[in-house]
Amino acid sequence: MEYISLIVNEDAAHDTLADLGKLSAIQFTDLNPDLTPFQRRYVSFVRRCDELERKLRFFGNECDNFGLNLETAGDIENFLESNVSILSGRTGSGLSAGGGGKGTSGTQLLENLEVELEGKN
Amino acid sequence: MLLLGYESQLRELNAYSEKLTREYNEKVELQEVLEKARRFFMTDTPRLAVSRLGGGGALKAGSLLASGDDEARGLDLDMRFSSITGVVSTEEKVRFERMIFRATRGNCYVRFAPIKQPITDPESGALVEKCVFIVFFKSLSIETKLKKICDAFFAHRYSLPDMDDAPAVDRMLTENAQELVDSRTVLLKNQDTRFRLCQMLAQHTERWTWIVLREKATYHTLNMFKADVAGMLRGEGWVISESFDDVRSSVNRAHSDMDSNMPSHVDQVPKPWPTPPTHFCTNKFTYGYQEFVNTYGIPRYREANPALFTAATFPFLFGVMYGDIGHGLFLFFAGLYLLWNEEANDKRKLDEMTAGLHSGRYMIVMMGFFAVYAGFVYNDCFSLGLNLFGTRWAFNSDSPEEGEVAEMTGSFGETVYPFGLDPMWHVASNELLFFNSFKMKLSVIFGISQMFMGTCLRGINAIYFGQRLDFFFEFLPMVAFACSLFVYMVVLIFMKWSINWNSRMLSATCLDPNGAGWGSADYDGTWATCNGAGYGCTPWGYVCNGKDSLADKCPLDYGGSGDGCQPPNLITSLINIALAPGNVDEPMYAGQAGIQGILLAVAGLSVPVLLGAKPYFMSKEMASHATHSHGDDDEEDHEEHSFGEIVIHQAIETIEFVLGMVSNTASYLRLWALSLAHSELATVFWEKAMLSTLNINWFATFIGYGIFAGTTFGVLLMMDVLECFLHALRLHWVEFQNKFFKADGIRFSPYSFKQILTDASA
Repeated sequence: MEYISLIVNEDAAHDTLADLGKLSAIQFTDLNPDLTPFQRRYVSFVRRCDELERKLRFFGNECDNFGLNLETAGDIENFLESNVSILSGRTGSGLSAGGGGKGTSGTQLLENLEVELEGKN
Repeated sequence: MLLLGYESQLRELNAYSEKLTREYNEKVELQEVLEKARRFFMTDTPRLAVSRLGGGGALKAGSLLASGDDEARGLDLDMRFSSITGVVSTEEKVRFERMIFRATRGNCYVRFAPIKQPITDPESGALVEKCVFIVFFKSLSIETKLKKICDAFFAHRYSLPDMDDAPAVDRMLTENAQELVDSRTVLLKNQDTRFRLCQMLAQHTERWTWIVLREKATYHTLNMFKADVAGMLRGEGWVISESFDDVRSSVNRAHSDMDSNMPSHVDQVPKPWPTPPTHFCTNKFTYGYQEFVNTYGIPRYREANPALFTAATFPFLFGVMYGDIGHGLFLFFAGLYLLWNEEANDKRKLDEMTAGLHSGRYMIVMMGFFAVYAGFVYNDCFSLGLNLFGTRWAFNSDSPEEGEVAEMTGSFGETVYPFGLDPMWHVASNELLFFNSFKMKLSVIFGISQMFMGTCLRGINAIYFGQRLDFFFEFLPMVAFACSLFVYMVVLIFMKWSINWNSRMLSATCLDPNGAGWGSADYDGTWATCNGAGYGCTPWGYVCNGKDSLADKCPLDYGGSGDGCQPPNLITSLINIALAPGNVDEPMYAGQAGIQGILLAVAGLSVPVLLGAKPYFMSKEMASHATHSHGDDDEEDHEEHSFGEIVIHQAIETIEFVLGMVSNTASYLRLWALSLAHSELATVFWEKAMLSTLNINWFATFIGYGIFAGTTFGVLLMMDVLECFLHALRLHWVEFQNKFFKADGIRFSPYSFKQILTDASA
């Protein structure tokens, strides 16, 4: 074990941590133990994630009501490896690729479907 | 993260669907009400009319409720009753009816008609059975009461057109039917849309959940960072030494992706560091054992990890307790089956039970293996001995009778059964005596070896951490104590096993020189010539006189009453080490009394050293430290306090060790006890279920085999496995680990997406 300090650029912090999370070799100590969870820097993001999680759970329940099984997203390791592309897809090329195929990013797929559904109602 | 729109859409659709369902239900209910009411009026009204004329006699047959009041109503002038119709769920029907009866004091007439199709509850989506009711009543006050009751029972009320106006009713029916069809199509369409939406969602929800969880973890971790300088974030944490470079390179890579000019730093924080967390790299094999140890306590950072030793000794001790070839093979193959399905099980989501078995698959294989091994040593297969190498004992006759004595085919030491115990012991009358003696000694030997190894690990820890005091005044006295009493016991056991007692005992027996026994090969030495008469001679030439003691007759001169020619009772001799020092009644070797005296003195001395030396040197160290620093009063108080604590701590440690050695040795006898229980149970099942039914007829054997297989599976393969498992676990947690294991470490819990996602999907 070695105790290290890590100084990163704020803009790059997210990507850095996304990489470190895949590495699973570091345990961060809390440098702001006196702050409550609501006083912290990235509270709004965490809250957004919580909100999304709640929604996803709602989706899951709805699917249950229809007797649909949630399809697994495959192996966790594969997911972690492949996800780099989706992230960069979101930050980079954006809305270039069309269609609802599997190749497009998750968010884009969502948008497409949304449009489709609105048209139907 | 545009799930937002998506969610609101689904919610809207759901709300819409609820509304539609409600509307649809209302239509359906109304339709039913209309139909039922019409039928009711068509069939019953004529009768009512008759009853009106005939004084209500017909109603008596109609309804129990109505029968009470028809006398009073019989001559009523205005027979136009008002009515309320509606729908109530079938479950509530009886209560509803009773309620109405009570509220109106029976002044009404209720009829029910069930609706055949169950109706979906718009909120919960469950199907509910409902029925139509119609209530006739007279007064206005009853009407308000009834309305309240209807509301309380969530009964929908529907107003009816005048039933006498048949065309109006028909018109309403057809209109309603038309609306029903319309709303049904809308509802179905809505349902279809929702279904397709959910279908699409089902494909992606898990993936999205993972993404969200990952982002959440990232931001949680970022929250632990501190922004010392604007635009930069500082974090601190523990890194596995081997992965330090990986961390550095991944941080650099992330920064280079950003094309940022801002540099990043990954540096070691200058010491002193806080207490590091403990992390062990495990593989598929050691994972289970490490979890065992972690369940008890996380090893202190850099302390000797008991999991490594547990991996070897745990299945072995299990085998010692479970020892049986047949049952062991079942366990072994169960483990192999789990290994065979290893990859499939890795991917699948398993329920708790199977997941537990899966993570312990290597353990199960090992446990099975050692159970088979121990089974071969005990020569025990479903409680029967296997004559694999040819027994070294033989009966004189071909069909031996009860009570016949078997003879050894060779003399002592010449030929032995090559592996394990001779199968002949299973038919011997002293079977239990022999096995118990063997297994008890075996458990003591294993127990003491394991505890001694634990004590040695304490020494290794002391060396590793450079704690001189611990090594010299804790470890060494402990070793001295353990060796002088307990390792010595093991030595005695082996010594007793390896001495040819046949020969020694024969050498102290008076024999007739002309008898058949004279010159027997059992005696190791050369037979002397005997010139005595009457009482005979011992093989070494001592002339017996009929009154001589064993010590007189024994050629060895070890002292005591046995003098070396009498196999000692080990337990008595061991107890007498402490109770009667310097006096050995039945010695095994020359000078045993003296050696035991020395050992007792060593053990006695090591206890005060263990108790006093470490606190004494620590206090000395503290005193010199205090004179150097000239600490203020507060500090001295603190030191006084801590010195008292040290003494108490050391006293506890000493007592625990000294008493623990005794009680833990006794505790290891569970190895024998469980092994005995296992073999006895197997014997009972075999004899009672199989042997006793074999002689009756084929059907009894069939039933008997069923019982035998069932009990063997349920009791021996399930319960006994669990029992032996738990006892082996206890032996490791308590008897082995309390010799050295501090178990006050902190578990290394890295920031890992994989862990988070695995936890989430489990």
